[in-house]
Amino acid sequence: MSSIPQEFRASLDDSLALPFETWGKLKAAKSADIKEVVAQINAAAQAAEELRAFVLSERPGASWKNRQELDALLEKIDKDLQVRTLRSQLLDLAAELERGTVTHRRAARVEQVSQFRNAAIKELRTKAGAKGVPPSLPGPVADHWVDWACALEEPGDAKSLEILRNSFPALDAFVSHLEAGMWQVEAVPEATVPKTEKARFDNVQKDLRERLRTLAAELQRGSIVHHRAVRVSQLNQLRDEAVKELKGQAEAKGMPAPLPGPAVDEWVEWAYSLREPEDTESVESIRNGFPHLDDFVAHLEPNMWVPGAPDAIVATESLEEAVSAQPFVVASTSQASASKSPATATPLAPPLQMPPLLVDEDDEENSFGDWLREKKSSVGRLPGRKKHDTVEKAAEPRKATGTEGRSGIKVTDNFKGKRTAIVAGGAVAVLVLATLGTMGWRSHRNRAANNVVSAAAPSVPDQNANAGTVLPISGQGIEVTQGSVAPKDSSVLPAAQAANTNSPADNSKSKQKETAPTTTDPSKKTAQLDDGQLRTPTAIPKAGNGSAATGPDSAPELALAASPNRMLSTVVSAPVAKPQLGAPKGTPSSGVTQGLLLQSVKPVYPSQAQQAHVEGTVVLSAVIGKDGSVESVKVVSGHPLLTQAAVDAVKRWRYKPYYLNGEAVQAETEIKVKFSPPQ
Amino acid sequence: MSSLWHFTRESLDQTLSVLQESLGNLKAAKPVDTAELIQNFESAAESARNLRSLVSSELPDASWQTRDELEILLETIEKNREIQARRSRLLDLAAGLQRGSVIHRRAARVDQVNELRDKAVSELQSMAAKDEVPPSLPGPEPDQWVSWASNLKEPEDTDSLKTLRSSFAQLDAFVAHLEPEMWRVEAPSTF
Repeated sequence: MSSIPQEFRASLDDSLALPFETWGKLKAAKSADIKEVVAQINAAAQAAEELRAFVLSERPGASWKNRQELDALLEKIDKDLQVRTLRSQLLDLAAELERGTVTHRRAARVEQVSQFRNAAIKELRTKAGAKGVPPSLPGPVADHWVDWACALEEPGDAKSLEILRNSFPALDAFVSHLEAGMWQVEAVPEATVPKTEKARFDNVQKDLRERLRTLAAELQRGSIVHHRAVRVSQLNQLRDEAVKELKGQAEAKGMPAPLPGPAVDEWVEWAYSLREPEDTESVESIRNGFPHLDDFVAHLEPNMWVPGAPDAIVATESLEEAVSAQPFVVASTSQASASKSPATATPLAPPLQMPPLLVDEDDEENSFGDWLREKKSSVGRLPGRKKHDTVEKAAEPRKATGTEGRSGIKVTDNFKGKRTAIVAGGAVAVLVLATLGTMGWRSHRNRAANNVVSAAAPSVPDQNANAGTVLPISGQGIEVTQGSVAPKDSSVLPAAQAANTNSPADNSKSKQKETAPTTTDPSKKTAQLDDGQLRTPTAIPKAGNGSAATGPDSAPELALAASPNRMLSTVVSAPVAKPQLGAPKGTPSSGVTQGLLLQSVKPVYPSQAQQAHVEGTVVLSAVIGKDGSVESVKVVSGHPLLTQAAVDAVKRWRYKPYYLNGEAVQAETEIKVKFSPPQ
Repeated sequence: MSSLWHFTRESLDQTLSVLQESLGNLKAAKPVDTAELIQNFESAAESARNLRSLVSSELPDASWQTRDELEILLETIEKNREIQARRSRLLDLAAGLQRGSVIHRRAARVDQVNELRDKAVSELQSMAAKDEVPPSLPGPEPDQWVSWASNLKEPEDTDSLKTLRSSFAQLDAFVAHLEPEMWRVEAPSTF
């Protein structure tokens, strides 16, 4: 079986065979078909480019002068790949063994064989993780391996058995105790298994291209904020060049340069926090592969970047932040001014008064611009970020006067002109729809729950719980963060909990509700309020289809989780309650959440992702069943090369059932799985 | 060999040399300008076609497979062309001698030199007619040859005189008896 380097080299040499032959003919002044040669030269050029890209993806910064040096380089890469393939075989088989189930009429036998299985898995992983060349595993690919191994007989298969016995004693013990019919494995969809190394390589190439395109789109969506227009203009220019570069590389022939760093939605933040000498490798990788992108992030300071929300998610801006800081959150004039200071803001959110849809580019008074300035200042307040001095200046007049502040800051050039109007209009429209959707959904839930909800609406969990808990899963550079668990069904809360959620602020909120100019349905007003706080809608009703959010099956999705917007990060990690009528419900705290996890399975870092240097965090939304099993897992965000491995692992996790009032209930939780290259 | 031959062959070899370098780079997976590479291939094909035509014009039935075989053919052609050139030169000089007149105040002297001239013409024509490679005639083009030869002096022009004496004895005898002012050539009639 030929390796990837051999395939690339053979492809190049095949393409060059005719040109070299033709060269010989021409040297003898013989006739030659140049048209055919032209086609072959083009094919050879492409093959050379692919080979070059492959070499550079394996050995960034590698250089060679002639074929001899290239061959030497390819030989080294080939050896590395062989080692990687051997490791991958071991890890694949370990995963396969983990996926399978031992069945037998006697529990003791199952337990015994399962112990052998676990020892075999450990052995495989240990050997895969050891330095040097791991031993070669005889037999077919992982999904056929157990069947093959169980069918081995002496003396016919003595050689394979001897290798197994010598190199993988635990694995040998497992298969020697396993009888036919004792092993069951869930089928893996055929399409997900690449047939050849080349196919794998093609997939990696496709993913890399997609990653570059997505980052280009992400950069285009975001905005640059600074008090100097010239700085904004300069950075926008650098950003445009970076976008052009990313798109160019994504469309170019051959393997694009690998882009280091996390998932695209976290990329900019990651990139501008890179430091030398700690992050020299990543910095050099960006500098060599993407000089314009490097230039852009090198000039970007953390508080200068406002990630753009995807179209459908604009309205899911953290309303808590909005309530505490936004000038346009006004119920009545007097209460609105009180709500502007975080220190004095009431937790009761008044209905929203939207800024005008169209913004005059010269109108510095427009409320949307102010809102965006506030948004910017809220970024400055994020932990671990440097607060921009101009942001502080912007906040001062607001505190002092209690009226809508005039920062005088040029927030971003994106806020100018028609583009500004479109962005502002889109954001406001979706925000309106989200609010209406939530109100409608609440209204429906209220009706279904016999009007109990108004007194005992589910609470938004404490923000402190949002930070999540890092689970003790180590190795392979994978870190798993467990968010707090929210009940899958939260339409009714226990009376005690409901009582606790009633804050004294409720009365004032009720007043605000009644004075809200945009709210006419009292039930909808009630639905906006949970536990004295404005409840973040978890799904955005589609425009023009207000009923979509009111049906019992239209539980809000975890739309925010997919948002690349850093400003939404607090909401992303928040547990989201999905109401389901008629079922029991409950809300464990984050501490309880960690305690609920009985068994976690470490995700396998996909070899493709490792090859492509893909890392980052996969955010999952999992539903824990009444029996503690993970009933379903949904990918909220993460790199496509990583998501499946994360889902596969989390599906095998086991929790203690979550009890509410003595009854096991379904619960939903958010899990973050972080993949980083093994040290 | 003619300048056309030289030019065609050198052009082909130069283009092939550039091509070889580009193909070597491509083989090493180095970036190359494919448009230039293709253009060089086309240019080399054109030079090869020209060279083929020249070979066919000299040796219509010639065939070859390799560059070595082509080189042997080219050497043969070069040899043939050299022989042909020498023969032409002898015949041209013979014609030039026939066209000229010997002038002297004494008729006997004119007769004597004319006789020598006739023998020289016969010698040149017989040498050009032989199958073997004719000897190389020193000196300039035929129309200036008599003037050049009648001014040869010893010891300055010993080499040329030696060659003349050894290879063209009759011609040497003619020019030895001819004084520069005794030879007159009528301009070739023009139509």
